[in-house]
Amino acid sequence: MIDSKTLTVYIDGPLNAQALDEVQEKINNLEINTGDIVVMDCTQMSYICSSGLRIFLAMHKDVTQRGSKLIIRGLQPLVKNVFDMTGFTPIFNIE
Amino acid sequence: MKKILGFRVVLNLTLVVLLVGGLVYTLGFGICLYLARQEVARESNEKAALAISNIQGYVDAELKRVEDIGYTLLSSKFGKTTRFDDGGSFVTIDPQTFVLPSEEEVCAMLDQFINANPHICGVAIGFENFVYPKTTGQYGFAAYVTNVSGKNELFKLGEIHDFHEKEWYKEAAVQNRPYWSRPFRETSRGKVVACYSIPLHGIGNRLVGVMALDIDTEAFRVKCGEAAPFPNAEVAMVDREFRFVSHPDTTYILKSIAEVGTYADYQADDSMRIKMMNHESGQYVVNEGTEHEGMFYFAPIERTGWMLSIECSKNEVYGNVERMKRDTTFIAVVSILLMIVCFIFFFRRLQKVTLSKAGIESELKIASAIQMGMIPKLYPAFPNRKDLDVYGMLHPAKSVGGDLYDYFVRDEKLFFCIGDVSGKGVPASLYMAVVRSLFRNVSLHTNAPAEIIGGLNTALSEGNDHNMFCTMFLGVLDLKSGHLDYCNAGHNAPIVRRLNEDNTVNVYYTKPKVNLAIGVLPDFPYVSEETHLKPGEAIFLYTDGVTEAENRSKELFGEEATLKTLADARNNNVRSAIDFVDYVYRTLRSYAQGAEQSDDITMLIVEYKGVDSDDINV
Repeated sequence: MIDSKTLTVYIDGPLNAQALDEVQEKINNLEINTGDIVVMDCTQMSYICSSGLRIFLAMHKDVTQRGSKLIIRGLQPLVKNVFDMTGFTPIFNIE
Repeated sequence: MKKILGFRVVLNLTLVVLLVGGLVYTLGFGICLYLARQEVARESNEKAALAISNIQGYVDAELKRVEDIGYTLLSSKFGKTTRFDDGGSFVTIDPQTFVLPSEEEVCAMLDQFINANPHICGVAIGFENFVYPKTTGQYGFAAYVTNVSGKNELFKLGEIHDFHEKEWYKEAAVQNRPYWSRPFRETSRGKVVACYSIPLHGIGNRLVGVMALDIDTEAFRVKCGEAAPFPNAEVAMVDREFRFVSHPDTTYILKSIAEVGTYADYQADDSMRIKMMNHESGQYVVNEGTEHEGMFYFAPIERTGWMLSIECSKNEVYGNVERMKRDTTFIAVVSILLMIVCFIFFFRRLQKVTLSKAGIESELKIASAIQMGMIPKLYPAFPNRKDLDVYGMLHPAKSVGGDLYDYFVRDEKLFFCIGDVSGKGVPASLYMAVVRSLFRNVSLHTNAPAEIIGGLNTALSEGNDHNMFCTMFLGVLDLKSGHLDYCNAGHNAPIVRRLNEDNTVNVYYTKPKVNLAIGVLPDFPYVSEETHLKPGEAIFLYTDGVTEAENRSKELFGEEATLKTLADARNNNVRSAIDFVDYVYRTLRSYAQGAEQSDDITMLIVEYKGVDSDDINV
């Protein structure tokens, strides 16, 4: 755990169907090592579509499998509503 | 059928493009060619005019030099030169200084003269018989010195023939004027010479003799060849009787035009002949329309009354234009062929793409029909039941979508659900089909919504590598009691229409317990809830395509507006389930202002009418 580092991913703007592929590709290119803490900073994310949630879900599964930790930070109220409504809030670490 | 149609379209388009392109090209090419011809003709005229004035100048200068030398010689030896008003001259013996030279002195003088003036190829002087009465010549005294291959030869003409009758002597004597004789072939060397004769006067203007200078016309012929405006242009000179003085073909020399036959077939109007006869300048197109077509330029040599002419063949004048025409035509043909090839290639590709696109589209149409076939659409849904009014609507944003609803009655219980698969299009639709069949299957075995959803969740969570998930609201309504069990797996909160004690209507969002969407965690503990519907009460289920419908400004319809629409529908006397859904849908469309539907729009309304529904009047 000494070498563990914190990786912060910023998602800016609306995470809609048009932005999905780009975001997914960028996330796929991240190098995440065991023990790393990944922070998804959503302070500037104004909207999320249902497919957008899949990105968080995939990230969560991936990071958890590696024994790392995913933290979601700065959800705007509207976005938080989507997380709440779909029941995803309890399964994520949301700050 | 499609293929034939496509080919025809390609053919027609190709033809149209070729036709239009060809027309434009031909027009442009024609104009270019016309302008080029004009330019070339202008240039050719200029070149010819330049050549003519060049040759004219040269010949005139040469002739004048001969004349001047003649006068210089005569006046130095015999007397003074008198010029006529019209430019002609004669020489008069000066009685004060004149001493008649001896015959030997005359011959030596001519010999000396020839040595000093190499461009004069012969000089002669003849006298009237009274001047040298003691001469040995049978016909009088006349000396002629000519240079034959570097050596001067002297001829005493009076011993050979009566020179007084020869043209060079006679014409100058009779006309009493200097005279350019017709060119002739000089016998000693075979040269074609022009001869200038000057009369010599004694006291009282009495003719004493004539001096003549010969000039070789070969120099003119060479000059004509050098000055030709085009390499193959025919530059010629004819004398007063239209005999050739100069011509590229030496065999023509001294032959008359009529004899040679040239010009005879010129198809030009008579004005050309008249102009030539009158020693005027002119330019004509000759033999127009035949393969010998050409430009014919002519101008006079005033001093001798000769005519200078230049004939250029059309092929030579317009050679560059013709080459340009040929090259451009070649390029045009090649580019048209290339164009055809490109067109065929391009349209084949387009055809393929169109066909494959058409194939996908028709497959999508079929897929859409299949998907729509999965969800119940009949209305009334249960014609034999009076205790229930159910209607659902699904409008995918694309051909196929990820929304679903379903309902059926088993054991006097209505099983109904609405769901929204994450994502859109074909992947979502496949998932939706799976969800819908699982719902039908699992619902056969249990009446508890949480168990049904749990079953679906377990099945869908396995091997869900793509992290697809589905939000769902599922309800089981006991049609005898109005008791409603439900489970909300991450779906939008339903809106209910409740009746107050005083039968007034209350429409509001429920706040169901939120369970996780299905397909995420295989062992998520789903929890059911329960409530009770009184006859006349209804539950309205929808997907986010309703609350998040967008207008042109990308503004969302919103939950408030959705709720208000439902309340308004009631006030607008909308009663049946189908009218209700239709009312909401129309409201959404008018809100969208024609903006493209961004998400699937799905609604399901379930109204419980109660066992004795006939008695209820809401």
